[in-house]
Amino acid sequence: MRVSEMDMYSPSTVEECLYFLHEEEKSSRLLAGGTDAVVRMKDGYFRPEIWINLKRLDELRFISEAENGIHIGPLTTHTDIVKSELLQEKADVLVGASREVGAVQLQNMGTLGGNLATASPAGDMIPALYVLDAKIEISSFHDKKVVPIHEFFTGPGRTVLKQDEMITNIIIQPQGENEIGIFEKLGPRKAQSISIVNVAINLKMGENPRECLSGKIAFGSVGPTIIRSKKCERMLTLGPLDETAIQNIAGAAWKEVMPISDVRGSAKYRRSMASALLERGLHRLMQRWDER
Amino acid sequence: MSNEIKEVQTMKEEQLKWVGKRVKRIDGPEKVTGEQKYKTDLKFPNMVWGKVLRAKYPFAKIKSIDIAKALEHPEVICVLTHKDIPGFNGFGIVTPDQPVLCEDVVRCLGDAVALVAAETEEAAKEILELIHVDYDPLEAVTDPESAMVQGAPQLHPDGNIHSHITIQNGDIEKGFEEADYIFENTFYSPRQMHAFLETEGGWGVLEEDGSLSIHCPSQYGHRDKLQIARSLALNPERIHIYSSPNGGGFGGKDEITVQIYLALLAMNTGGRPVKLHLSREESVASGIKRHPFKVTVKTGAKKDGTLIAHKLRAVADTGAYASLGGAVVALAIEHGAGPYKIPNVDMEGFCVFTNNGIAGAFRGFGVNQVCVGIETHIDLLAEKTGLDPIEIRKKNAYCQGEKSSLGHVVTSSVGTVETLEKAEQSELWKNRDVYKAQASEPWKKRGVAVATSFHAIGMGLGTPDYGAATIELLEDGRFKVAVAIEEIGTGNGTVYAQVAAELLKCDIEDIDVIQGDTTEALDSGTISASRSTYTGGRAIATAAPKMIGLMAEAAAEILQVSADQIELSENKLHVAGEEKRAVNYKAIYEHLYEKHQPMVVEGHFYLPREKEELKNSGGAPHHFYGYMTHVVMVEVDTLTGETEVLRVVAIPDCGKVLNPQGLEGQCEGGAVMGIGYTLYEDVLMENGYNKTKSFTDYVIPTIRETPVIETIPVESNENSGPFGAKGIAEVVMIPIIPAIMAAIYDATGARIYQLPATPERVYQAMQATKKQTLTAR
Amino acid sequence: MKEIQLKVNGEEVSIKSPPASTLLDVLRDELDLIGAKECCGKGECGSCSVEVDGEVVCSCLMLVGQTENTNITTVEGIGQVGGMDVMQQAFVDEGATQCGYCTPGIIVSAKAFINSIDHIPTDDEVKTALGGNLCRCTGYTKIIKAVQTAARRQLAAGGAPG
Repeated sequence: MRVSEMDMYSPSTVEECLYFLHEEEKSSRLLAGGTDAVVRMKDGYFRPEIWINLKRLDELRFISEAENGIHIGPLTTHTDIVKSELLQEKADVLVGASREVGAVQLQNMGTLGGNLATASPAGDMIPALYVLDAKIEISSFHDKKVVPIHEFFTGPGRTVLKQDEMITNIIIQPQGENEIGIFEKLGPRKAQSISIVNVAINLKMGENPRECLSGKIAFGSVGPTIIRSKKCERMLTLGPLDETAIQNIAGAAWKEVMPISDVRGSAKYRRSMASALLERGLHRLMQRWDER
Repeated sequence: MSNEIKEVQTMKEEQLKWVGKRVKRIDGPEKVTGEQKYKTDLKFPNMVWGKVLRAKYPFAKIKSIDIAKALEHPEVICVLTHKDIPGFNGFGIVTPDQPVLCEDVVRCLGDAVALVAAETEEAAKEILELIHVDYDPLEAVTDPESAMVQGAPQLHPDGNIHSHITIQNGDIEKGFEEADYIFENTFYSPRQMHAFLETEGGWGVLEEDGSLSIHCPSQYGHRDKLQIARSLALNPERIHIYSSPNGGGFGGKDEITVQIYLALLAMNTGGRPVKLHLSREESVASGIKRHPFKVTVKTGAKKDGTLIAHKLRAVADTGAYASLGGAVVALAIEHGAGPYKIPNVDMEGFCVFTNNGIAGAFRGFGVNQVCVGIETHIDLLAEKTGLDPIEIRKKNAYCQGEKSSLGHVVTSSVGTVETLEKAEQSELWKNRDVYKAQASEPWKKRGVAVATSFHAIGMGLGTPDYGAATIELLEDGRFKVAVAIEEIGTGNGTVYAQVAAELLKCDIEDIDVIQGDTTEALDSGTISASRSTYTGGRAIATAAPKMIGLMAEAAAEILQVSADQIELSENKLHVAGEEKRAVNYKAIYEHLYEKHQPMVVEGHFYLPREKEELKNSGGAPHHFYGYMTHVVMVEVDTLTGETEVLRVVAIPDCGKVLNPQGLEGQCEGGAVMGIGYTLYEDVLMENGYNKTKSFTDYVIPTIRETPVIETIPVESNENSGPFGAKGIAEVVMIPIIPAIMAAIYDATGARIYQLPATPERVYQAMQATKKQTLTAR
Repeated sequence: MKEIQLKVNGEEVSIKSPPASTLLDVLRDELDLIGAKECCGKGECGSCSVEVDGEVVCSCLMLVGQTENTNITTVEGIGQVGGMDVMQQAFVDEGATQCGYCTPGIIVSAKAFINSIDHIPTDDEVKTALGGNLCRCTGYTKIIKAVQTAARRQLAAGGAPG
């Protein structure tokens, strides 16, 4: 398929879009911010007959709080997330992750739904969504279902989404007043970089100094999909998170990940960095908690 | 020295109106509004698109090339192979060993096998897919040292060693015998990419009169013309090159990029203009790179800090073709002992062919790779003896009139000691302990270090080096100054306008500068070798007095006095002592026009050079050098190995500074490119294939990596230069490399021997240091 | 081929183009707006930056079919040689352009940035705002200075972001 022969369909409602996905027999692909899809079109991987342009679906660009959590529309851009006061207050780890995506242009273009559908093991948003217990609402013309994030991905670049389905909502659990989170990223440089390793941490703190009641830790870029570090999470609650405890927890992290070697880093280094980023993140969180 | 130059030299600082001032770039407004048209921005009606078929293997025999299917494509204009080259099938600045289109063998992935022209870019890509090349893959030669061994597969008939350079002075064995300390280490350097933002591209146009116009960014249009002529068997006078401005060069557009492809295609499209513009991926795969070096260095020193012996062996991976590889290695060896007077040296370099792409000219030209050896060893010596690292450098630096390590007396200006003194007095160096205690987080550590280096200006012995300029009086009393040396970003055109306005006593706005145009400007050599300010400036300073003479004669005729009674003042010529008896430049134009007299003058000169070439040195020594000291502060994250350069003090000696804003721009850009080289950049290859393919995985510094950079120039007056200037563009990225390495050591105790110092390498080096400490207990 | 309506630098234009052509190609090839450049084609370098509906984007990753009825501003719409914008003038004054190939994209990003703030930005703020624009010549130092100079002048001239 020549790029010059590709067609484009721009639905103005979700229903129209789902109907199109249901009915259309020509090959098609959803196009949101384009930061990944257009690159793949240029590289020759994505050559649909019809691009379905989602940019007009304003109904999928929202951030709002409901009873069952904070709802974020899949067309919400990283810039929307960074600017959202609601998310700054109740999902700091997600805001932190959005800030680390590319740079301004890609933050203006890239969407949360796009980041999920691309399913890159190095995608910066996904670990943050893991530690906020995200659920993904998937719609088709006839059906609607909600999938917890850990069941959404099936492998690198692969998800449970079917050809006639699209993401219509992302629901995260808001942080309580005693919760703090952080996103730590190791890239080859500060802007415009793909993660060598990243980690999202969310902690629920107790009354006593540095007492952690529970916590979630999710690593990116150290396995085929995101890896939740369950052992380290349990260790968080064993005692106050002083320097020794932090070092011990971080020291256990390398055993929980299973990275590969590539141009960005060796497997051995990535393992060490899982520990290093967890240590750095916990140090920074505790400093913030002490100073609150 | 000619009289004209003497006159320029004696102009007093306070008399200067343009030279030495912060004159804004004359081309600034076009650049900031997007109105400046680069060659790849041009448009011609009735155009066709060109594409290049590159090699499929890094090393393979070509059994056959079948273009039949490609020719059936409905949108094809032409498909060209080696059979369609009318002249010599090769190019290369020194040795034309790179085929324009490969015939029997491909030696790297950048090799071109066929050219296509088509109605659309999309069709051109499809047609490439329809060309069938039958290959017989060969075992790729990818390690330069293995390539040197007898029995290794050979890339070229004369073997894999393209050149072997040696420089010896004194008695190296005796030197080491007398040494109290000896240091020996091996350093590895990266395959840095120029990463100019405008990729290679342009237009080939067959004009109605049968002449050929090539619009293509380049660093030496006059030479491109000759290289094209050789391959096309055309009279070079029938080829016109328009090669300015460039969207960045840094040496990467010194060699032919796509000019010959454009020319060949233009001859085969039935007169339709053809455009080529490489994608970033194709540019990464086919463009030249900086040579990766393995450098083994052994340095001997006395307890008092005197350097007494220096031995160096460098092996450079030049890739598949010669380009300027031989010259790069020669310059590396010339600079291998630093700007010092080490009495006993033994240095050699090998330039070796492999199937790893192609390496060639790049800002610094080999000095980047070797400077780390001597500078690291001086730091080791400082640590061993407890002497101050700056004192050791000052003690060993040669001064003007002294013998360098190469054994020749350096008669041109030398600013090393002064740059080191400024470093010592710099606020950063004086307060380094205070800053080092201020790391931003507990697990981060800071280090401050200094390094010094130098870089030759102009061509080496054996390569002619000359400059030429023309000045034309225009109808409106303004001047057209033509210097062929291209604008590649440095702002040399602004400097040319400054020099011309100063000498012709007019406003800078009255100077039109023409660059990169073989029809309008005389051959003045390359934009490379830190030579363009010096060369172009001096060429204009040679031509200007002739223009003044021409105008004075005309003025004398108009005013009816003798020419020696005419004096020059702002925008006019007048009778000596009678300011009111004057004619302006416009009136002079009119007078000359009526009399059908020529209004163009030329200035030519030959760059000063040394008399005797050191045996086997490939062109050493140069007549003059730029000198530079850097002080840097880094902060290393000991958890991850990430290094951030926080501050840089750049202290250049480039002779008289002609434009301080331009100089700072060079120092700042050079520092950040040096940071990229030291910390981030490397084109990774495996078995001759690129693992690094685009800007997604080739990491150059963003604005977020840029430190606070301060420039403190030292102006050692160079007597031969225009207004005392030398050159600057390359040395600005050199000493910062060993300075960052030393600052990482200062911060962490870990020494880096392989660049780039990625977080992973720094982390590993820190881990190794920890292990050593444990074993030592 | 589709007929697509765009508003570019304040002017309504109608073009015929395949909808999957990039906005960058359309601007350069159809509308002769050559200020935005293609340098990496993948959103890494920012040379193709333009403003679409008030946000800076990489026009090399936006398909023109997606930009129908949007409001697009390119560097040409910010100012011309005869009447430069405060940002462009500051770049000239501070010497913040060298080869200049990245400059149009940086002007677009920098202008949008100072229009979004009401103070003279710190170095770090400028760095965050321009992290997506690569420059290989300048080392960025003078770019930071130029953005601050422009912000100062814009504030002094009434501060009305526009």
